[in-house]
Amino acid sequence: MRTADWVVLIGTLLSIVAYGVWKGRRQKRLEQYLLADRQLQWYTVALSVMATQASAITFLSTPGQAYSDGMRFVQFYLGLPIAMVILSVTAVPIYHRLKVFTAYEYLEHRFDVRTRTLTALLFLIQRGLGTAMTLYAPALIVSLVLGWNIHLTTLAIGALVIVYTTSGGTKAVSWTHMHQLLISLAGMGIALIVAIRSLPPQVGLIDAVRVAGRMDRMNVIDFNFDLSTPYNFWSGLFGGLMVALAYFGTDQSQVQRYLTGETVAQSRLGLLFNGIVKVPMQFFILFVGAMVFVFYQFVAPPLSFNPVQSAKVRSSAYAAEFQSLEQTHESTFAAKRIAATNLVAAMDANDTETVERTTERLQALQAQDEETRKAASALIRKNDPKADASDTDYVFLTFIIQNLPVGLVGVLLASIFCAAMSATASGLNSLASTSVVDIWKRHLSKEQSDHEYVVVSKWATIFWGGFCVAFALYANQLGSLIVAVNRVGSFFYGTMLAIFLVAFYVKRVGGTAMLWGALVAELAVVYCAFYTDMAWLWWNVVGCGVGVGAALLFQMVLPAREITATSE
Amino acid sequence: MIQQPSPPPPIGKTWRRLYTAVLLFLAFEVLIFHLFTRAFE
Repeated sequence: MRTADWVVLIGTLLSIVAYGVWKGRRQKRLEQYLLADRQLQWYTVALSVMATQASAITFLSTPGQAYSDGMRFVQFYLGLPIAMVILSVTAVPIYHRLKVFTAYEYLEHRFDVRTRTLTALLFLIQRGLGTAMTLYAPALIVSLVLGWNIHLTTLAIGALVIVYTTSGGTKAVSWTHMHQLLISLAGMGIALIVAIRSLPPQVGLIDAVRVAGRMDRMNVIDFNFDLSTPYNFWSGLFGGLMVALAYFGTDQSQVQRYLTGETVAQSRLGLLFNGIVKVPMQFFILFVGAMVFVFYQFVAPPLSFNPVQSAKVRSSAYAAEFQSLEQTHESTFAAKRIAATNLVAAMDANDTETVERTTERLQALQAQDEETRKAASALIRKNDPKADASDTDYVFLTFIIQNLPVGLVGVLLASIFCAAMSATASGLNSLASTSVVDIWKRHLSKEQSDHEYVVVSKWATIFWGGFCVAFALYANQLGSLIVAVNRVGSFFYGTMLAIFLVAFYVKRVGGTAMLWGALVAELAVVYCAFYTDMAWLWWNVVGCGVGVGAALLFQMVLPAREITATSE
Repeated sequence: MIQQPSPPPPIGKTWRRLYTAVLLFLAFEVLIFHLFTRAFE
């Protein structure tokens, strides 16, 4: 990193923090601090919702996903627009009418205080750990590729977020989200332009797309119904719908974003805008990754994009083996570059026969290179069993560092840090809201003044900020437990979705039946997680299905619930 | 649930139309993605 990059990076991040502090000054009432006085317009709501979901991992890992597996990942988001419509019809008007601060507050209106508290606690556990991972994951990748100290990187991002989130509350978070998302997307646009402009002169944009297509990287839609493939049209539509309903409908980090809308219409428009823009945005990010893949058909990529693990193997007992793989990789690349150049020439000349022949040759070389890379990953794992042998997350950052001109590296890093900060800020903001509104104010201290609750909310933000930073610092030593932490959301999302689905749609089920149903659902998820081989995405479905079914069964043996006006 | 009439959206005249537009746009995206995949596979 050159001085200009540092200036751009630090300048951008400090400007965001200063803007957040300024925008969120003079917050005296709880509604002001936690919900920006419910005065935000739809475009702020929309960009805030999008920035919350788009963490640094979205911008770092998604291009790598396209690099290694093509663009099929976009199908995961196909259920999202449908979820936005469903939530606009159901959740938004209910939350607005009851003027709730958190999604869990509604559960007390609908069921009872026990269900509200249980769901709030489930949220605090999963979002607390999730936000820590939002800090840890990009800090790990950036520090490995740039050689920075991971502890300092984590502390720096965490401290910056804590400053403006504590000082300005939701207003600061939502307004900074707008700028952070725009900076992140601008960064991706710059990366795309650089990737295309760095191709050989005879390779234009259309040529690049055609090469990517021939290499199976333009596989956007797959209509084949196959339960074993993670991303196809059907899993995206139905699985994606479930995940989006749970995330946007029951997770306070998202619900809080659209509770800030001035009216039902503003909140709805914010969600619907997200429903329209999210899929093209993911397509765009994946497209950048596909273009980076084409770039590396003409410029030699490293054998492994993880520099630290590569260096470790080179200085280990496996050095000779690794060097031999590097030589194979280099010779395969040289052949690939010739084949790719020939393919572009043949396509430009409309020489169908040569196109087919060269495509086959290129695909065979690609398969050969992938085998070499797999062997390298196996060596990395052999050398260090705890090592993350997959280098997908490091592809995009390596491309940025090695190929962008001075100054623009700073812009791209700023865009990645902005994404990390935006997702973390929403997490801290929602953790503080739930802690204060659903736990502190509801159970521990009911008679404080509004201003005192604001002060408690600020301390809660600092507490959760400290927790997330501390956990992120410690995460480095958790080893394989990190995988479990990453999946912790799926431990609870199914149950939480079941509670909200019953709350919205099954009027005859009361609080006691729902509470027991939720406990049975959690037991079912724990059983699936520890005693079966079921993939973790399915735990959401099990938790939701068992939760709804068990609540209905319990209601059949319990006395009929009393339907009150507020529960309608 | 008691349904209260909500004011119309600033565009599209009714919410129902706006929801339909979002879903139609999704269908349009799927179609474009399908054509894109076919064109470049």
